[in-house]
Order: sequence, then C-alpha cells, then structure tokens
Amino acid sequence: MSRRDSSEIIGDILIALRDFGTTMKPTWLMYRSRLSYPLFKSYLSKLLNSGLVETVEGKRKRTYLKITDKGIDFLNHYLQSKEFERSFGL
Amino acid sequence: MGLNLFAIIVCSFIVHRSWSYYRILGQRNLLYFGWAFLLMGLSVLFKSIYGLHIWLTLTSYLLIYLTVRRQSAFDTTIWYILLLFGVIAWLHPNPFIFFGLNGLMLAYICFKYIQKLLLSFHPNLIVTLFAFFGLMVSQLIFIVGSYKIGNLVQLIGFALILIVVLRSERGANVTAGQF
Repeated sequence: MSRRDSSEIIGDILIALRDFGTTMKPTWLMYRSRLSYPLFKSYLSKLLNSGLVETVEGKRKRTYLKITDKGIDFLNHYLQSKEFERSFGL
Repeated sequence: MGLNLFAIIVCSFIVHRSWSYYRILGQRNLLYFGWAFLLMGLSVLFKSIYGLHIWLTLTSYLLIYLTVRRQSAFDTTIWYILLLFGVIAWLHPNPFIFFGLNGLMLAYICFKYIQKLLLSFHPNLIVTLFAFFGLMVSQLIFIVGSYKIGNLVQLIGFALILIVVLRSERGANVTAGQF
C-alpha cells in the first residue's frame, strides 16, 4: 500500500465520519482513519480549526465528532478532484 | 472557426478544473496538466502566428506527456527540448515536421495510457485514451493533407476530453442529502 499524503488522510477521516452517519467517538475515528494517536491529534485540530469537523457533547459529557456542512462540501470537491485525477491518469 | 471556439472552450474548462482541484489536492501533476491545456488553448487562439502556434502546441503536448508519466519536476533535458522546439518553430516551420512531432508525442501519451489501463482499469481512462488517440490520428491526417477530415477527427478528440471531465464530475458527485 502506498503512503498517503495529507489531503488523502483528511479525505479518509471525512469519509469515515460520513460513512458512520451520526456522531462518532474520537477513538473510533482514529481507528477507522488508520492513524497513530499523535498524527490523529494534529489532523483533528486542523479539521476542527478549519470548521470541517465539529465537536458535540454526548452522554456523560463525552465528546463526539461530527462532519459539518462545510466538511460535506469539501469532501464533495475532494472526491471530484480524485475522480478527475483517476480519469486522466494523473 | 467553430472547431477553434470549441477547442478553446474545452481547454479553458480543463484549465479551470485543474486549477481548482490543484488547490484542494496540491498535486503538481494537476498544475502541469492545467498549464498544458492553457498552452493548447493559446495555441488555437494564435493559429495565425505560425511559429508561436507550433511552439505552444508542441510544448502543451510535451507537458501532457510529462504529467502522464508523472515527471514531478522539470530537469535540464526538458529545457533543451523546449529550446529545440523553439528552433523548429521559428527557423524551420515545416508542417510535416510539426505534425510528425505532435503525432509522436501523442503516440507516447497513448502508450502511457495503455500501460495505465493494464495496471488499473478505469472506464474514464479508456475514453481519455480514445481522445488522445483521436488527436494523434488527426495529426497523421494533417500530414496526408486532408485538413477537413483532420479537423473533424480533432473535434471528436476534444469532445471526448470534455466527456471525460463531465463523467468524472458526475461519477464523484455527492450531495448533502446522502448524509
């Protein structure tokens, strides 16, 4: 398997959140996006700062993660870019 | 006139898409692909200035070739090739050499696409291969001297490129309602 670049890692995190449907625990997201804890932490802070992902308070005041509308829009553009790249063999 | 306008529209469409996708993914290949189609559009626009037209077309096909074979950076050899193209364009603007070089580069591009298809199958990649194959055939027809048929084949090539862009957008379209 080839190394993922940062845009692919961000894409994988957003796809994992989208596929889960509802809010997701950070640890589950870390497993699904196949990242180590320090890497996941840095990517999550980037996503939270850019407003692509938001935190939601759940049961027993636990923090859950959710994809925002901006995140959905970004993912849409990201998937289009990847498809364009594949179509022209770039 | 109709073909020129259509080619310029297709080229600007791809330049716009490549640039916006480059901003998302940051892949340099997307940037070079955009540059290639910008030069191709300009070559159609400056068809009346023959030397400039030749140089722009040759450079655009060279850029596509480098992008497809994933040449991530320009090395010194590329500058020598561009210089050579400049010399051919201005000192010896022979249409046969020009169409021959175009055809040769397009043949390389087609060969690369066949290799890519053998490695991983993608339906849009087949359409892309046919598009560049059409452009290659058009250059060979130009050498024979049948400009009317050559232009028609070139039109089909550009139409196929447009179809690939539209298909790629439709294939990856995700709406907010899906979440």
